[in-house]
Amino acid sequence: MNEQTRRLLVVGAVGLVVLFALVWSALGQMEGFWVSGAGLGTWFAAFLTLSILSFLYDDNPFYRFAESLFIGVSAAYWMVQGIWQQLIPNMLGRLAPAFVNEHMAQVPLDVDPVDRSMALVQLVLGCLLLWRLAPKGTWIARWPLAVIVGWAAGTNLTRYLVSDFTKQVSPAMIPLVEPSQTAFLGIDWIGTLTALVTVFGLLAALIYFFFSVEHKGFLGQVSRGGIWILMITFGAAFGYTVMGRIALLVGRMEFLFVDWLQVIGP
Amino acid sequence: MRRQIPLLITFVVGVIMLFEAFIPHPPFDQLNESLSITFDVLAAFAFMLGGGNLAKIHLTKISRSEPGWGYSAVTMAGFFAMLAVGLFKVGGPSGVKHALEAEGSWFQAAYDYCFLPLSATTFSLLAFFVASASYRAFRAKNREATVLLIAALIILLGRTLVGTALTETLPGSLELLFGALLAYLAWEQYRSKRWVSLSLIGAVGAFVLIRTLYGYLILAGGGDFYLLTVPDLVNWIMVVPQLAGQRAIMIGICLGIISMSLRLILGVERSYLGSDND
Repeated sequence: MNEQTRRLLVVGAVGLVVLFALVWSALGQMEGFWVSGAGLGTWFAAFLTLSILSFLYDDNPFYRFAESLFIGVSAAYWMVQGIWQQLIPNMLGRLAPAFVNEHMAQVPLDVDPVDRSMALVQLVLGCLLLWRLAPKGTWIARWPLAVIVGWAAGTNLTRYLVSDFTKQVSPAMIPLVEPSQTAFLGIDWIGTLTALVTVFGLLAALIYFFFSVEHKGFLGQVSRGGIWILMITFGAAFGYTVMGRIALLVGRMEFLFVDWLQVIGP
Repeated sequence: MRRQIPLLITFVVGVIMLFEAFIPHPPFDQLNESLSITFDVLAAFAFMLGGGNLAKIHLTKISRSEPGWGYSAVTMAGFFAMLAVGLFKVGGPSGVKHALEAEGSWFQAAYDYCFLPLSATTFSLLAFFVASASYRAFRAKNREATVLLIAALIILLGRTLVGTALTETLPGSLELLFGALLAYLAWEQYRSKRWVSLSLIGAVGAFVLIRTLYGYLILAGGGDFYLLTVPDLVNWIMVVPQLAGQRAIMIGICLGIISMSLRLILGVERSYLGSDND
């Protein structure tokens, strides 16, 4: 099947869906795009959803249109969020509180002089960062970048040391044998198995990541056990990822059949 | 100058943040707060830089009528439309002091009818690609891949209604499955005549099967007996072996972050400064 035929197939399929929706809405079974702003929005959202899904067949102009729109819209979305959530209250609101309070957003009118100076520094650093777009002297953007990198390095060093090291090591230091008054030989066998897997599983997986010694003999066997533990972790992560994506897909199908076409009741 | 000053800035800011973690008192705690806000503000400027760069690239493409310039025009139309309705807070209550997500705001409408369907559908496409990739990757080629496959299947079963229904309609099915698997492994070991592992696997398999049959007798007599269910197995996997592996990965990541942070603060790692040609 050549490119031309494939394109025709995609266009034909989308045309059929749109024709069905038009007839369906003309019969009063669903809201037409001409009825209200929300109706128009729902039709547009359905068109975008179908355009993205059309990529499952092959690359086509509908998908490329939706993809290009997505890039532009998402860049602007995050830019607007950054401006209204950060720049205006945290920088502009400290530099010109009266103006911002009157025209833009509610901010405290009483600003500490140190905070005002810091806001000025932020403005200068921000402008230096935007200088990256200028044709010459883009090296100046390294200064604000250095602040970002320095902050991230200094913060993450201690933050991860607490959350990903000490707080992960301490729960793994548990008794290996779980006693029980009622169980066979006075040992809770399931609890003991759990403790053993928790402790030795962690050690085995850590040994797998320890590359300073060649993984041979006993160390090799332990490292192999570590791979099994890691495979279970990856399997679980994979299972959850698949479920998350399927849930999103179900959400889109629900939108198409319940919200747009209204062939299934809510 | 072009490289030394940024290195000095990184060192000073990094050391201040390190000091703050160990000395949470003035002036370090105030500096930490100011620098955290500065980071957030600079992140917002970085979004603007990203947007500006996107506009620069696509507008150049449009002005030169390069191949695919039509799609660049779509990108720019979406970009400027979203920017305009967001920055000027078009629609909704009068004035610009209301929230971005206020009732009737065009920005919220653009989010609901454009951004949300696009992002959700794009990510839902991954369900199909993950399925096809997993078909290629998960053909149980070796023992490790088999373990991954089984773990993923158990999680998928246990976190859906199928898993619950399976063990409710067929109690003890998991034990029987496990026992059968051990019996098969024992048979495989017998063929290679590894007597120690054969005895061990055979003993565990026999124990599981006998325990399950005993459980059936108790349950048939109206008694109470615990038989493993898929949701319980999933919980155990998540809390014990999965967590052990996850902890090892987190510890590894943490050690990597610590070493990278030290390299950045001490100026050993300089790749973020880019090339000298800038």
